[in-house]
Amino acid sequence: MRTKVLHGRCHWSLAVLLLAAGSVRAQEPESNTDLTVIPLEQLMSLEVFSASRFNQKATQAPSNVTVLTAADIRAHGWRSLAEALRSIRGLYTSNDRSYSYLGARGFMRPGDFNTRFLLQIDGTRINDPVFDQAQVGNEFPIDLELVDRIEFVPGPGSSVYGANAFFGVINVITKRAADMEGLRGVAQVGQAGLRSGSASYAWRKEDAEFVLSATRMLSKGRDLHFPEFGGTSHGLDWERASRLYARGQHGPLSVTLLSGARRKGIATASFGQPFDVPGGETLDQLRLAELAYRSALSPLHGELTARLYHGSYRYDGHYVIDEPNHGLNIDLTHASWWGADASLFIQPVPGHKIVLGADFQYNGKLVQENFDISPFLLYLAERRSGKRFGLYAQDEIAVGERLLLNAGLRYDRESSTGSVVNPRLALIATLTPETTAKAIYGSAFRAPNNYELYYAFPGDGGQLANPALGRERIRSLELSLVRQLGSNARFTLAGYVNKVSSLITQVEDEDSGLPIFRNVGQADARGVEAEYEARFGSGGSLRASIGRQRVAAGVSDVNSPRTLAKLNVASRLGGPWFAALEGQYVSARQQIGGGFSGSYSLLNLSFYSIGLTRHVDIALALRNLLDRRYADPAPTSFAQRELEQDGRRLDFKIRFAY
Amino acid sequence: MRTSLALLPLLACLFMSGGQARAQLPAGAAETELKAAILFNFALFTEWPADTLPANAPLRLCAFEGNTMHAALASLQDKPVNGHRLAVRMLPPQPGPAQLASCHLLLLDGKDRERWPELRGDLAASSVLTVADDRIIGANGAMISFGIDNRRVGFDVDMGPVRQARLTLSSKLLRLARSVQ
Repeated sequence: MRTKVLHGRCHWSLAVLLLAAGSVRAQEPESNTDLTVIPLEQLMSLEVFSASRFNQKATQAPSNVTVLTAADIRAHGWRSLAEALRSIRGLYTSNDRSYSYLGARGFMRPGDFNTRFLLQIDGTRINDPVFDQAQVGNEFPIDLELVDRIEFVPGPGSSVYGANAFFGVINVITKRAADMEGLRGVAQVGQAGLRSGSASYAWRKEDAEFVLSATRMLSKGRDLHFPEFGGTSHGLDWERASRLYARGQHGPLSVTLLSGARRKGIATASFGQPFDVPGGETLDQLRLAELAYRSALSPLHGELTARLYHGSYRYDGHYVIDEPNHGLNIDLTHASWWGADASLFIQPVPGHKIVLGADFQYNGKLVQENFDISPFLLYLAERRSGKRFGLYAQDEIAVGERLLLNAGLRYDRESSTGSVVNPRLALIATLTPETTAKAIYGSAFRAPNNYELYYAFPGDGGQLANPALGRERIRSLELSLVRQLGSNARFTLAGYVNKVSSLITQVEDEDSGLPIFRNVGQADARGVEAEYEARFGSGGSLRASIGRQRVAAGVSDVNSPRTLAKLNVASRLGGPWFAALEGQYVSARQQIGGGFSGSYSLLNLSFYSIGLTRHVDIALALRNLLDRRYADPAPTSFAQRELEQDGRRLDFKIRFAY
Repeated sequence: MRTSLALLPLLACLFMSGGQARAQLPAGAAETELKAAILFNFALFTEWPADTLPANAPLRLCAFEGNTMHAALASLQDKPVNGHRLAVRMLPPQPGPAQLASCHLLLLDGKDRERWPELRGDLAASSVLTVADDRIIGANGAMISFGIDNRRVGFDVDMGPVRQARLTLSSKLLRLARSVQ
């Protein structure tokens, strides 16, 4: 029964493994090791697999996937998806005190909405259809306590996933009832007025289970000093989030409901707001309802997955008008959509693993409005609808004993930009039993979002729409070498070239002088990355990486660090006590209009218990341990050139389980 | 940059050491097999009163028919445990009192929830180590209960029924438990 549950969980990741480009195998149980001869201490440090798991040795995966587990999340006490993702090789984040932004391999355009990453929860796309944004801050609708693992597949993924899988795919896989049975609660307090509480209940019996969870988070934030305004903003940096999650499963059928809402005060006087005046805030709310079917196809050693989902997204921006009576301008986006997808994985003959799939999404309501409240003045009222449809196929072919060829192709049709085809080809050669070489070529696209196509605002400080925008493209080649070191350690070396063309870039219109989006940008990125990962018997783990990249861009090489280095270590101190250390180095990044935000090194330290008592565990996290001052380049909508990030922050967490 | 360069020797050093550390240990195992191996260790680190487990007598590991771990338990058959031979017995749905009392170790899972209250009464006077692979039974008087935490198998010990059954658990077992109450 338990096996079945785990079995089910493993399938969710099937999605990413496929994309990863799809070679998933029903592997025979690990080995014939007689476990009873292993000392008990070591048995208890072994990770649990399900016997029938579609397991693939990472060395042979057709992509260099990084997996962050629930253990990593607990060890480092990450509070948002962005904090977790920035520990991954080649990724970095930036924060403008309203939203978190993600960059990959030297590419992050200030003011963009993470449109070049596909974000999924249990395999379902949650990029909204108006901005196509991947929300990775506290607006991400799932509590990290509910996350079993985060899988990041770098590189173009459009050959399976279609639009937005441009620099990578992030798949967040939620825990199943077996991982959190019973009643659980988490309470957290921290500096900057942080108060957070969550409760969950999970139940299972035979092949039925359900999980319920609710979270509420409040943070007062800090008073922030901005030299550009010659002053301090008071009490405006607050943040409030609430999340609800419910999932039930019976046999192959499951139902998921989730809702997340986050409000954030604007303390930065962005978009020309008056400084240190309250009233500016943003609301982001995402809701998703999903019905899924998943079943093994035993005759072909395969699996069938189908999903039907409905999503809605709401953004309400309140901006204070810079005039004596401080009226409000409202900027809002409401979107709702229906989608369905199906995929089939089969192994019809030895040496072939085939994936076939189709998905469809109907975006019934895509509304963008902008108006002043008093006196009422309407600047924008856009209502659209749209569709996207995709068909894909992929085959992994064993060419002899030591060579795997993984080939995939996807056709996409979007109502805004028409049809496009994206291929992916990976060659995986086993050089020695421990060493694998991979060559991966792929392309991906991003269709212009509704904001870039239709958002227009007349007059001074306005913006022009451009319904004629085309899609952006990326072509990427990656070569990598993976060496397995014993059974618990791995070293990866990767080099890549990314060529981005027709990049959608905001430029000035020649006639009106107003900003407009055009397909004028291109960028050429090259880099190398090295990573070492190890897991130790005592429950410890280590991951260290270094990346060097150079981006040559026609239009924007802003916010592109040359060097990224990361270190994540967790280790048992003794008894139930553990400690984890996280180190990050990000080299200098260019600001908009020249100038540089300096390089920085951060250390985050945490102490936590596992099994302190049967019912209680505690955790203490110190972020920015050395209280380093550092800043991220600001987007164009800010008067500031850079935005200072948080100094040392302490928070304390207590977990209950009954 | 300096920081990142400083990481390189560290990397190299780890590169050298990490691989050798535990080359013999598998990276993971199937849940049922892992639990079976840990269960085997429970047998190893428990002392039964001599009247229930005479020297050279087989040590009987029982579970009800249909137990999820059935296949994994079979691999424990005949393994030596402190001079005893381990014998795996599958019990019928309605076992006789003698059949039940002849067990030394009884493994229960979610399918046994309904019979547990009655079973618990029947076992009160005997020296059977009860191990629950189920949260409900684990919280209601089983001596040891399995749980998964962090993708690793852990176990909790309830000393009350252990003492009542005149069993002695080794300090090593108690030290490795997630919790002892």
